[in-house]
Amino acid sequence: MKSRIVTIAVVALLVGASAASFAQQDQPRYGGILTWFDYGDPARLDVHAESPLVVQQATAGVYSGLLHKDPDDPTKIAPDLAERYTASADGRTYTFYLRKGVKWHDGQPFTATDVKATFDRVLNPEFKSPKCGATLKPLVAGTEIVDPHTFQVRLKFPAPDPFLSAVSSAWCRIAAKHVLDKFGDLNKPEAQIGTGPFKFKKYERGSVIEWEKNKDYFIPGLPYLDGVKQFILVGGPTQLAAAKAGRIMLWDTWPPMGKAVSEELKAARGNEIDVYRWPINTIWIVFLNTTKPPFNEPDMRRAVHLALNRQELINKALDGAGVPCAMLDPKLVGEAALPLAEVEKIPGCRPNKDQDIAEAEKLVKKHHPNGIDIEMAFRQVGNYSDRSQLVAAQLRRIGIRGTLKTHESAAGYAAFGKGDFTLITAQDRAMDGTDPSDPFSLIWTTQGGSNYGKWSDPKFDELAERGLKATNKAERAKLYHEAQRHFLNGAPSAIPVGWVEGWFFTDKNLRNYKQSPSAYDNITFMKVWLAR
Amino acid sequence: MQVYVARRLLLFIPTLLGASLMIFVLMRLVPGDIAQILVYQTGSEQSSIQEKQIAKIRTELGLDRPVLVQFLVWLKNAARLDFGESFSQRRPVRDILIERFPRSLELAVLTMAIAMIWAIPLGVISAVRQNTWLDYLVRVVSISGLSLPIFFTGVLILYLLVRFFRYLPPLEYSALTESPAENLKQMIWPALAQAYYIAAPIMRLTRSQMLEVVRQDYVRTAFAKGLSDRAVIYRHALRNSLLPVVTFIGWWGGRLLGGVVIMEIIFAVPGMGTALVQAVSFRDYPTVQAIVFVMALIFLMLNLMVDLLYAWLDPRIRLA
Amino acid sequence: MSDAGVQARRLLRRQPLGVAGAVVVLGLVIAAIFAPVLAPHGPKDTAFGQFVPPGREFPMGTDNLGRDVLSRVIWGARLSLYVGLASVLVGITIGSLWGIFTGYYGGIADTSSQRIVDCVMALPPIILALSLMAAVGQSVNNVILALTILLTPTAARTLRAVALGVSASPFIEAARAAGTSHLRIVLRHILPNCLATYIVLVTTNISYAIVVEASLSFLGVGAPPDEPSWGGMLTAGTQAMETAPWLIFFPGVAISLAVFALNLLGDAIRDIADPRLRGGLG
Repeated sequence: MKSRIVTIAVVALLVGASAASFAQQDQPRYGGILTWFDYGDPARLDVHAESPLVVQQATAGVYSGLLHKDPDDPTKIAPDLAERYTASADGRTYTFYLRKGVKWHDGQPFTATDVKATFDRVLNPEFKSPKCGATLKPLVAGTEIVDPHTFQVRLKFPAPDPFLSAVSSAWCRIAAKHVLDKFGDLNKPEAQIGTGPFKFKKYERGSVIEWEKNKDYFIPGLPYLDGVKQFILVGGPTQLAAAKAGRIMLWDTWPPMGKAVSEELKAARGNEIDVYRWPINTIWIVFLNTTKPPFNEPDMRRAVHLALNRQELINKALDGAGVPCAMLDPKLVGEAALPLAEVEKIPGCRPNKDQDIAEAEKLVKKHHPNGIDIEMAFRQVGNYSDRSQLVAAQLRRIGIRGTLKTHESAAGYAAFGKGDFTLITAQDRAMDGTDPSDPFSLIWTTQGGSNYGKWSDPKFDELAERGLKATNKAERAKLYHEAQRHFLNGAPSAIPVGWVEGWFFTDKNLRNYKQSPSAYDNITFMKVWLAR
Repeated sequence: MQVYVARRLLLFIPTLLGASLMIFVLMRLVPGDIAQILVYQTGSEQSSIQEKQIAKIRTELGLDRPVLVQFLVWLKNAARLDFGESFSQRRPVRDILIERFPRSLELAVLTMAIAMIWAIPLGVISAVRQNTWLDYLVRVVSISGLSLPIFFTGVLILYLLVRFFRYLPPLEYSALTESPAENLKQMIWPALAQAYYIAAPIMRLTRSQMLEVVRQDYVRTAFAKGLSDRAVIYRHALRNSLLPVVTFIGWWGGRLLGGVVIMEIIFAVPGMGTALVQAVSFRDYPTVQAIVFVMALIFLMLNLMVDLLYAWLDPRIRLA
Repeated sequence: MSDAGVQARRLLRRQPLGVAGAVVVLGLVIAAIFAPVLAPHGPKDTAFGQFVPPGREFPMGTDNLGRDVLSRVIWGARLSLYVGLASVLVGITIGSLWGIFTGYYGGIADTSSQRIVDCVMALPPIILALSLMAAVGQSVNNVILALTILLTPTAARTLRAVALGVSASPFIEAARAAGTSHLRIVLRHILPNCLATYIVLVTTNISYAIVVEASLSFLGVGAPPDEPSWGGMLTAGTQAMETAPWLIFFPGVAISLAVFALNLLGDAIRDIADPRLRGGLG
């Protein structure tokens, strides 16, 4: 009898001990410095005025927004500086109730005045705010301070999804009024005063950016890390070497790794890292210039749309990591996306290209019996040159013979914006959030800032506008479906090849890091810890 | 002598002016300017306001004035060493120069030192033992440095360090004055790669000059006097053989300061090379003009010093 | 033994490295000329499997887009030699003639030439290359243009010095006293004496041009990416050194071999052309 009790006691002890040790493994550990890299030098740090990912990388952990993407589940929106919000019955007024006792990194108190100063700045028609401003300006009618901890936003029309998506975006961070007054803008390192989990410690241009833990962060117990260090590594081989040598703990930047590089890394570091594939909320577009020949002719545009073999392009250039032909990716935007099964049946998107290519050849022959020679442009970044060679090879089959013309990484945008091109073989466009209206407003509507080909279709614009303003989710989905069908069955100028995905890695010691659907979100590392 | 120096210094002015003008024109010939880049890069704002934004930025930066006016204004300020504000970084270009120049200087000096320590003795050996297997070996080894593009040597070094030693040089820059160990741990590798590359011409030049000099009368006289081989070599021939090497250093020194962007990219050294390339990429005219101005000035000064050194080392050379 | 045979053997004994270099260069030239015949596939055909290791079907494997590396290396010989030769011949020749004529005639033409050469040489070469490619676009011929502009000033400077040296000789003075026209003097007496230097410049700079083109590829301003350029292949291969080492191995060997051989050949030519450099100590 006694021995049995002893046995039970021993077993209980062992079970208890192992359970305790399991629990400890999941217990966040304080300390350590996270290291990763930026693919370029940000130069100007103004999160309201800039748009490159490196600026977000450099400043994300320093600031907070009214709302943000939940670090535990970045597909959801969570409160940040606003502990809660309410919407009026007509859906046009949002009231944000701000946290009390929050301090800026320089010790000053945070109040609604700062929120107003931020919104005023971003909504100012004279102020160039390509991310936050561009998404909010069409929606917001006005803002108001109700009391030092309550802030109100009035919309022009009810638009809960686009509005909340914009407010919670990584770009709509709240800056301090006294900092804006003192410096005029947020470009300087000295102006990086926020309310976020990390303080901006150091910016050695061209070399490194460092954050240090904000000991007075308004969520007690966070952050776990002592700091974050980002090396500025411009060269691909150097980035890869840093990853192989364990000098960086994650790859969450642009471009993502290709399959070959991820294999290379796995071979070097094996079981010290997790390598995974992830969408980057970015779409690969082939642009056709509608303002000059040959693509002012709709038949020619349709020919390109029919001839492009998206599956082959994605398989060869993206190692299969992509969603072909979709204008919206179902896994990112949900039901507003046309179901992929339906997309695959639309001419141009069908996996079996024979019929589509034959039709495309006919269309080209009709206007150019001997084929046509054009310039195909692309910017020299990422693997655009590989993609371009594949696109050129595919279009050669239908009689469109292209000579590749390269553009510089930065100045290439100037050429595209001015319309100095005939065809752009590869230009990615990253979305800020997962609202279905984003790509429409950016790329496909007449006023879209990235509508390089200057395509204009009033019916399409109308559908997109109604989709933006529809409040009923089912109705919204219906409108967007109609828009997508109309587009893919027509003669588009910004032709989607597919949504781009890529490979990333995290060091196994890095815990609680959740990659968000958008490249810009959830790089504050506020809840991340190192299990060294 | 003073007249010569004065005349040479005076010649700096038209050369600097000409070089600055050339770059000024060249930068205006390449498509796109910073205003267009800034506005079109984001491509988010409505098309209708993009034109206005471009115009606004151009006015802010003074790009809407006639080109000639822009150049004259730049010239006037440059004479006072005021190079304006960087279009991309929104801070004085002078700060960028002061920040970046020491790193490029350090890299150039390290490279030169290593290259000379390596190449000059080899050149001497090669000349002394001309046409023997030692000569061939030395020539083959030094040519191999030239045969691979320098970016490849750099990438190879990184790869080998990681693959076989699990080691990577520091990726962030530490100033020599603050933490010399960290600084050198980073700088030694690009210096080695570059030195390997430029050692061949130095070695070859040393070799050919040694070969030429040793057959001259005064060396023959030294032989006849009965001094040992080595004494002859070192005391007479080497000293004079250094003349063209000095020229070489003058020419390469300037180049090293300017053209090392590849090493800077691979080894993450934030120097003048990357600053220049980024400035060109973003059409940051003030930064481009300033860096080119500084590099041209250094190039001219180095050449002048080399010519003076030449005259001092070999009094037979008359400065025309 | 025939006269030619004796000479050949003497050459082999005197300049074994040079002869080895010449043989390799000859091989490259043959590869370049007969590329369409020698290469099993087109250099831009993307029809094959990606990242296939070297084997029976693809002796040098395939690259990231499924192109045959062997074919690209062979066609790469053509591109590299074309770029190297064209830029050097045009650049060095123009530069040399410019330097010789302005050096001999002197006067305003000379001083202004000198200033222009100074200005161009004072500019960092990288910015000339980058701006040029941005202004005129990226193509093989524009790479040649960029390299030509880089090479011309040095040639002008060097040949001018040689021409000045030759002009100062009493022989020239005598010819002038005899009433020979300037043009004749230049063509008859100056040019031939500059030939040795010219040859040396040409042979040493061909390999320099090939290597610089490769570096330009790394910066994204070399030959267009679909062209089979050794430098471009090397740049692309650096991303897969562990998993696909054949992508850098073969172009790397090709470039090294070519540059090596050209340099050895150049050295030998210089040794032969400049008799002062023959002989040695003891």
